[in-house]
Amino acid sequence: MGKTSTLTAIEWCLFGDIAYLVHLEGRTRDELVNQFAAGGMANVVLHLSDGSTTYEISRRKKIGSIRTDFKIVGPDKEYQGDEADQKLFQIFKVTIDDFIRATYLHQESIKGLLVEETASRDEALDRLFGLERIRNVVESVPIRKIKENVGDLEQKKASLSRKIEGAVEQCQLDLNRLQAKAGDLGIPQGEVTIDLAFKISESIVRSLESLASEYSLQPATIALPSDILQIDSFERKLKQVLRDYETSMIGTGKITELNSSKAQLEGVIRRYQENLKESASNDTRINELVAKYGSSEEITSQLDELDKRIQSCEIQRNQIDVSSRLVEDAIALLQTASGENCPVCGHPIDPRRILRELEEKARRRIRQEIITLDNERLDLQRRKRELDDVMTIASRLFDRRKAITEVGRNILEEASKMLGQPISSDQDLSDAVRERLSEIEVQINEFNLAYAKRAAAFDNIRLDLEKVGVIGEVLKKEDDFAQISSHFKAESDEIKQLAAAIAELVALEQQLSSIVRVAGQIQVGLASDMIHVSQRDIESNYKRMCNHQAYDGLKIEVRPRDVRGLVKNSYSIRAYSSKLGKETFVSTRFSAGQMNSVALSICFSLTRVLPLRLGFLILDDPSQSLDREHKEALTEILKEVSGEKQLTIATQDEELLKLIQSASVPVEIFEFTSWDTEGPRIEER
Amino acid sequence: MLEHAYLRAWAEVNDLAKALDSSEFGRVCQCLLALGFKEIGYRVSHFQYVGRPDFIIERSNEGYSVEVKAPLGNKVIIKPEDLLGIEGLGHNPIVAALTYPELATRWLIIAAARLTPRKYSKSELTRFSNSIIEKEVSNAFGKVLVKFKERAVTRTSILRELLED
Repeated sequence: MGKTSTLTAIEWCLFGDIAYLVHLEGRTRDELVNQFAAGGMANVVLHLSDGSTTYEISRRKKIGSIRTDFKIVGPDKEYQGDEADQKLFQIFKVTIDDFIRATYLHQESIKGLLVEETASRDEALDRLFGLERIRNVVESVPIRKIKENVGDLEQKKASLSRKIEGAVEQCQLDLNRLQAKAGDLGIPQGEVTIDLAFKISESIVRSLESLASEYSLQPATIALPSDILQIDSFERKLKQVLRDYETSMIGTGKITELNSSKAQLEGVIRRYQENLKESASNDTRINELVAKYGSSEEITSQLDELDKRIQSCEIQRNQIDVSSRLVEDAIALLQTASGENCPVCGHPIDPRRILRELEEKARRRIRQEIITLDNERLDLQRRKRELDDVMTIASRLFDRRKAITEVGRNILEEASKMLGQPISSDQDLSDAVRERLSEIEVQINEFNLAYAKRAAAFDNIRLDLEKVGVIGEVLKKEDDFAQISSHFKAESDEIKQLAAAIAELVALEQQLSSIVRVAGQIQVGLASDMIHVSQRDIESNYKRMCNHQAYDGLKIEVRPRDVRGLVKNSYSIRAYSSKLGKETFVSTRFSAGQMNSVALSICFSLTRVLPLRLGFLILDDPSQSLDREHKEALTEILKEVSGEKQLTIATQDEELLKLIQSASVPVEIFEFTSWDTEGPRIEER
Repeated sequence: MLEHAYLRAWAEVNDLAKALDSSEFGRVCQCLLALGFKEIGYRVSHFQYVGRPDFIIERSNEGYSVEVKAPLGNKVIIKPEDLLGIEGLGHNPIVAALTYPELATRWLIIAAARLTPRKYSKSELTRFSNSIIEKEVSNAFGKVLVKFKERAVTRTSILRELLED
């Protein structure tokens, strides 16, 4: 616990910063300071020796402060601040990036090579190859931003252009419509000129004058238009004059009067004829009644006769009643009499027999007579009622005849008044009306001809006026058309400015794209060179470290990749089988230990081939996830490296330590012995 | 001649016409016209999208009940209820008709008494318009358009709120 922190302290002491701890917040790097230590101070002291010369290098920082005190104490001089930085560069000849790449095999370097996520792995390899600066330059080129800006400006420009184009389009539509209207009025497109409008206007005024003269109208004073703007007013005034003329000269009273007279006469004739028809129908019904029942005198006589006969029937009936009562009395008497003699002849009588006979005879005879008389009387009464009805109908028909005759007389009187001459017969009426109607027709025709002539004159003037109006509108619209661009001057100017800005941005984008392209090519070239130089060594390390049963070889390839307009290196780390000709991406098939071996193989190789070599190499927990077999292989490589460089290994892996010790590698062991508020205590074992 | 302010108004109204459907366009124009009247000192005492009058405006001792007509075509239909709905309210009844798509886009302000229910062409209506109020409110309308057009397109309800401010 605290191994990485201790190594980080070395890095911070040398360079004042920490390459991998990018998540540190703020510029003060207070996370480096032990918060529990008295005084809140971080203080790291290193002793650096090349065998003959020793330097004491120290850096101090107080919590909350950005500034650090950097000091190098050499054999003959002490260096501070910038001077100390310069001295360190003289000693090391490396920057922090080179240091990380070639000297400090950081856990993060290894982790970066193992991740599956391509972009992170590419970044890790770029860092190892020292290409992250180029990568940062490429990424900082704002091509995308420029493209977005160009897009925004193009959109704004298009919006402004649409505004102008929309107005032009609308104006063109209006103009086309007006030109078509002018064409419909017989004005060819090329002749729609102000001169033509003036010429037609003069002609209109002349026509109006002759109209006034011909029909004795008040002459109108109308000024001719002298420019387009006056056409409207000319048109308005002229229309008003035409309306006034029409009202005064084309009075419709006369034609209305004629038509009314015609209609009245036709009405009189029609009513008279209808009256005659009704009269004829009435007479026909009268004649039918006379034919069937006779004249009214004859019917009256028939009625008198019927009355007499009815009266006679009633008398006879009364007489029967008297006889009947006598018989009844006699029968009553006989019913009371018993064995008496006849009161008339004195003979003895059989009252019962007589009674039966009498009853029989008397009742039969009387009943028969009564029935006969009643039937006759009823028949007479029915005939009387019928004749009464006929008399009523006949009376109504005669009354109707009188009324029809009266109506006919009234119509003739009315016609006399209308025609102004006496009319006493059908013939008179028919002749007089025909004659009058003929006169009226002639007058109406004359009027219609005159009206048509006047209307044609007005129509011609109106048509000419319409032509003048349309010419005026076309010319005004053409004028509008010409003015549109000046009305939109601000927009036009803005469009020009936008176009210029867009052109500049596009040129800049092209130039930056070239830079990015070249930077990309350089990145790929450098990475390819680096891989080319170290490939054999990487493969050798891989074979020794990993000793994979199937995949005996390892290769790294690099190719350019376009990421949103930026060219970046894209690496692939693949293991292959030289015997079976198969290959695989290590990140997808290898175990954590195998991948760690691959990463260590690459890192060790790079520390050898990179041009900057220091006499020491710092390793941070190199045996992570390695089994014993891989640790043995690692130990062999470490033994080999230890012949060239001093190795500083931070580890808690006792197995690795024993392997290193058993490989006769001279080892000095330092360990964390205790922790207190001042931090860990490290002592030599 | 084509007035600059009216052509500018055309460009703004044209944007509205492209962005909104016809009924929404009518409502927005109604609201912008009311804001135009407000701009020149009228008080909008009544405003509604549905029913008649569309709005009532008052200034000093003059007041108008307004029926707004903003169809996208060249014709304006005046219905009997349009005229009846603005009469008898104690204000001068007027019909406001927008001349768009004519390039000289402005509001024609017409006394209701001069109109009968029928279909009019917009150019025909120009001769009935009160040129003084027409000019005054149309110029104000142009300013209101520039000020509020974007908001009118994205959030029409905000115009109504502006009327109530």
